[in-house]
Amino acid sequence: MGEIVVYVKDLRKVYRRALGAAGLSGAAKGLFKRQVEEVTALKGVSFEVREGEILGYIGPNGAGKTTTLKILAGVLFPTAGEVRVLGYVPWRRQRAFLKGISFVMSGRGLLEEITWDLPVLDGFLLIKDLYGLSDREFQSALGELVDLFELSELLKAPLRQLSHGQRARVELAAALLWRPRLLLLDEPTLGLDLMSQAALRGFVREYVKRTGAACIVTSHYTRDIEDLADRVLLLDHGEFVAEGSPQELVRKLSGMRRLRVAFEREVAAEELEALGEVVELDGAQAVFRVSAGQAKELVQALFARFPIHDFTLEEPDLEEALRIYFEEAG
Amino acid sequence: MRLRPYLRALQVQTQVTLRYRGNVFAFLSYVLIPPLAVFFLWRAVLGGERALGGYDLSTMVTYYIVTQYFVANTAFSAWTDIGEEIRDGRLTLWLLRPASHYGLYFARNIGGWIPYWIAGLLGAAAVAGILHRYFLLPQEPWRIPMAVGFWLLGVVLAFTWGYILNLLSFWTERSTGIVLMADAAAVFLAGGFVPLDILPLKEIWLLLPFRFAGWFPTQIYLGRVGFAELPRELGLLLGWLLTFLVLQKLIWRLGLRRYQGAGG
Repeated sequence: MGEIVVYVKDLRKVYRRALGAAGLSGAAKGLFKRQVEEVTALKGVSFEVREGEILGYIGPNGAGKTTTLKILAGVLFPTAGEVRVLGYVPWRRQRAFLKGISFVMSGRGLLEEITWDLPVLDGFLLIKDLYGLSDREFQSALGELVDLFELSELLKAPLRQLSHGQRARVELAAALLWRPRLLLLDEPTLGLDLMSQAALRGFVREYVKRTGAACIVTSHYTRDIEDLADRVLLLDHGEFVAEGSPQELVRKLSGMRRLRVAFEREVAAEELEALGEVVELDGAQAVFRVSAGQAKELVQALFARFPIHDFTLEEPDLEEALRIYFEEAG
Repeated sequence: MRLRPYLRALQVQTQVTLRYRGNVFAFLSYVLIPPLAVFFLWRAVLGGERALGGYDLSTMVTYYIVTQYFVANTAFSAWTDIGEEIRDGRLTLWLLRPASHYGLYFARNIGGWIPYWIAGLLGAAAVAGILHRYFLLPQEPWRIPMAVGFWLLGVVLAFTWGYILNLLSFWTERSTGIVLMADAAAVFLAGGFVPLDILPLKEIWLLLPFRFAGWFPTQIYLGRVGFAELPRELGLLLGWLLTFLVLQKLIWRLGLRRYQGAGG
């Protein structure tokens, strides 16, 4: 593993949030007196990310994922804690720091803000000058990214005439033009079709492989995390509840397996439910949820009572493991 | 300071404005109609040999044509987008860039206005042509570039003022109302409605910096300010500008600590 790119220790963030009563009278009262509450978004998290590593940063809505990324990008000030990104204190927003990072937010991009009506290339030229790239650096990076993202036919088209998926590719290419050493991706595949999601994941993997950059990715699509992340941090209510590779995380979060059984005839639900927890039943096909220790017992019981054509024991995927975890955590 | 990012931002915004050429031509009405409208009013007031505060009909007509060009082409409210960006979190997109937010927005502001400035010149020339019997050219040619120079500094001053007002969104969540109200007041205080020196309490209006975006450059054009007074006025203008710039920097720093980066 390479050098530490992100160092976070005991990071806390408390927001003040204005509360408003509903209705017209509530709005009128709010003119004179406004209630404020404090919300703790991060409760003292610590972690590191190294060069060439892709960290999956996951958790339910409101867990504190985007807040963390915004602090790492220098957009928000933390309430307490120590943070170093590329050796800099992010919220000082020094030029060399800002040139080393890139923060991609779903549905939001600088090019859409400024160059919506202009050809894509104009947006790239703006990025070139913002980041002080020489003509040579720009041409080299542009050539590489145009190939990687298949943009050659889009460069002269106005941004507003592109599809959502094409714009996402353009914004991601724009976010990589200055070859950032840290890539912060917040829900990068949100709203994209399956093909575009897969392509985008491929681009990110390829970029990290080629450049050795570090990457932190948040996503509600667990497929993104399974495909991309070397390591995953699971955040809930502002603190970490699990850490490991996607496979380790599944094992830690859920000891449950799925037993898929193909019977030789249709079976009644009541007959199966007497033996275990049935998750799915479709004619002669059934899926049981079973703990690792009970699987053998259940298989023997099924063989003793039913003619069985085939069976498989499956580990749950990350999505299911997370669902089980959060259901059990309440 | 690297200029390239700002020059590119200026160029990009000029391109964006040119995409909406209909708006640029529609803007001509701002420069054309008010001087024509007030002409009839002031002809009734100043007809014959009458004068008010040293303004006869020709001076008054010329004042309105020149001032209207300056004031209509000055963005006293900077850009209400700035306040909205703070509120809805789009400011984040700018904070990530290795360049000054004020600088980029100033460049974009100027870039966006350049086509209007050019179109406005055509409009002002047209109205001057229509009212050619009354329109005065300065007796000393240096007065035109000098007036434009003062006005351009006034544009920077007005932008910075509007930018500061927009930054109030860090505290008020929505500053658009304040900004637009202050915009209307600034047009008045720049002499856009009535020459400031014929107003009651003129000492107060002339003490404020807004006059540099309209009234004062027009006074230079009309020959109502002598060359000897210009260094002192320039000093005053730069003093105001420096004050606004320091204030802008301070409010920006304080505001960023409160920024919550909504959304995402």
